[in-house]
Amino acid sequence: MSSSVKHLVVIIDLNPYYWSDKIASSTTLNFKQYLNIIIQFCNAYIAFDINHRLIIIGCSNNETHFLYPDPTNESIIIPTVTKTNMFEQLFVVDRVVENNLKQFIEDLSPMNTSSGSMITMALTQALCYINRLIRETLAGEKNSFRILIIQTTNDTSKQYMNFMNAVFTSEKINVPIDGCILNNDSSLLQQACDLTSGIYLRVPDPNGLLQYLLWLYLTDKEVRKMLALPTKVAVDYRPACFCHHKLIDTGYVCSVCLSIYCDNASTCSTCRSAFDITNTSNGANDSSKRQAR
Amino acid sequence: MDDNDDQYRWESGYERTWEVIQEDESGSIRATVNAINQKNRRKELAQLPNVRLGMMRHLYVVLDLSDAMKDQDLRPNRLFCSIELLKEFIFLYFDSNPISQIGIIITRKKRVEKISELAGNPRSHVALLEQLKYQECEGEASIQNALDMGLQTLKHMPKYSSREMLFVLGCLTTCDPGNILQTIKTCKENEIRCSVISLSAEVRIFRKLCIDTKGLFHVITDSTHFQELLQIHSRPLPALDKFESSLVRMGFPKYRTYTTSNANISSTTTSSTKHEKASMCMCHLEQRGGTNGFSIGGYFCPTCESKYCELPTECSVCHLTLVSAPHLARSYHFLFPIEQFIEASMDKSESNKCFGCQHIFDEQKHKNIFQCTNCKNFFCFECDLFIHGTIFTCPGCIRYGQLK
Ligand SMILES: [Zn+2]
Ligand SMILES: [Zn+2]
Ligand SMILES: [Zn+2]
Ligand SMILES: [Zn+2]
Repeated sequence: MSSSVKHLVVIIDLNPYYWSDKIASSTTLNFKQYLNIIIQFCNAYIAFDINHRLIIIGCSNNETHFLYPDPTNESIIIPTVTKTNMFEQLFVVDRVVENNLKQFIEDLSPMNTSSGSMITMALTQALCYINRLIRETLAGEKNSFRILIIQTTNDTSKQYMNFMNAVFTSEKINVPIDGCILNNDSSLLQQACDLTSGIYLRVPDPNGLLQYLLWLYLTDKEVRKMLALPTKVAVDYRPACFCHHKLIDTGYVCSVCLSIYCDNASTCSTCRSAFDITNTSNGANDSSKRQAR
Repeated sequence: MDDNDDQYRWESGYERTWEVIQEDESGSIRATVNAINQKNRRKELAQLPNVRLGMMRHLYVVLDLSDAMKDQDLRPNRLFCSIELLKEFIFLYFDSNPISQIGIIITRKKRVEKISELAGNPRSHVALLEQLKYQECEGEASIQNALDMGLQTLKHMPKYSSREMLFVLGCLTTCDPGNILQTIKTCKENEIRCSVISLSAEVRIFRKLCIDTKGLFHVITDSTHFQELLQIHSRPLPALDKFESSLVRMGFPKYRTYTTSNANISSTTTSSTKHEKASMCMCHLEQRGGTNGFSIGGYFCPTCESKYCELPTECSVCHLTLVSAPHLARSYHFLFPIEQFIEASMDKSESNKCFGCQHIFDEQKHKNIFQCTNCKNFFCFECDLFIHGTIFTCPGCIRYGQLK
């Protein structure tokens, strides 16, 4: 029997920004419940299959941290309390994550709590980690990898290029990205899931988060074929122009650096090439040339 | 085999190439070989040009189908091997040059034949290449005729795009109807760059063609080298001096689809598009027959509403180039390359593990570690390669981008 190990990297958004205005309303999920749900999901993932491996990365507004596995902390925790009837590995996971989380949250700087999170940083680190695991794979082993991003904050448009670079890498090394967002729809995450053929979901009711996680994200590609998945919404791949950051249907692209502008410009602000105005094709000019061939 | 290296190997000095390799205590040369490989890989990545590139390329691949391609010095023979590698090349080419075009020309029996017109869809080119495998290789190749055929189309291509021809030749002769030097001159005047990959040996006229038109000339040593050379050609070449820049109008169509009502979790999806009808897409319309291309969803040209099933493409009605944002984003890393990391010693590092893969540094395994000059984080060698060769984003530097 060939055993194929399945690795799942969970990237958790721990930015306090989202939770700060949730404190007042008691009806919705709070931060503690959110963490509990994620730990429960992680436990379920480990218990689901003996070949499942888990990596958890937490990220705040300016920091990322590998919460699990943590070889330095793991050795400290000896599951002596086996009285509790708990699966040993789960106990270790819980304690390590708990310890690391505590430390991570204590270290959080209350300064510059911007609304964005370091999802991109966590994602690139996850890819480096996966790349290492791929390298360490022995011949004959067939391991699979998957990334799940649980996001609570809005996209930051500044990260577009870095994020897309990470997504293209993921596509290249065949690692699907699943996305689960608690806030407004994220167009970046949507594109990431679509390009890497992962599942994207905006959780309609945060109270049901555990249900959604267990239902959609516990299984891998093979099992998903048999599930009723959310219908794929057509992804909006329109770009935002570099000058005003608004979505456009038609635009002008610099022939040197492929920067996108919504209107004619005399110079490119990215690569500083000056455009020959007489030659600037307005479509009609260009097409007549082409027809001539 | 550098292009401007006029000296041949046998004319240069005597080199003791084996002295670089040293055995370690156990007599293994693995460590040195690894170190050499590592150095080479880093050097290769450092050489990636950081100048203005010709991002929009129009390239004709000229494949030799003369007698010489039957030779079996490449397995199973030159033609099969070339076709297999060219198929790979086409995908690489579109990966690095998402909105460029490619066309295929073959030459045999002193004639040339255009297999495919300049177009942007890798799959159709690959399918056509596949069919070439079963064609007879015979007669002699004609470089002049091939140049003429390429010239006819390429000279009408817009000035802001780079015009190139890539010859894959097994022959050692060319049979031409006129003076090839004249044709080379015309190519030069039209700024068409010609590069040659020769499968057998150096031929003076091929080399002259490359030098005059500022292309690259290479002779392969084996199939791995062949593959590496094609990889070089798949990356955009540095732009020529007289390169014009221009703004090109493009359309970014949105995919529209018919939504069915089964298993709809997200109740927010609207049902306004429910009455859309199936229709034929423009790209399959020309290839009559079959039911391919008859579907409900598709990309609709923002100016004239013609439907296409795949991007990127050029609208056949209004000649607008249709692309999606990720197509453009795929090549942004060429424009904003990240700086090389510098080698650092282990004791200098404050952190004991690689910032990327979290591997704990140890003296045995990590002889060299690398530091990003920007964010000052430390990385292991493998992550350095992965970051510069595949991700094109330094994990540590992301923080600075965000807080700016
Ligand atoms: Zn530009
Ligand atoms: Zn159109
Ligand atoms: Zn590393
Ligand atoms: Zn850096």
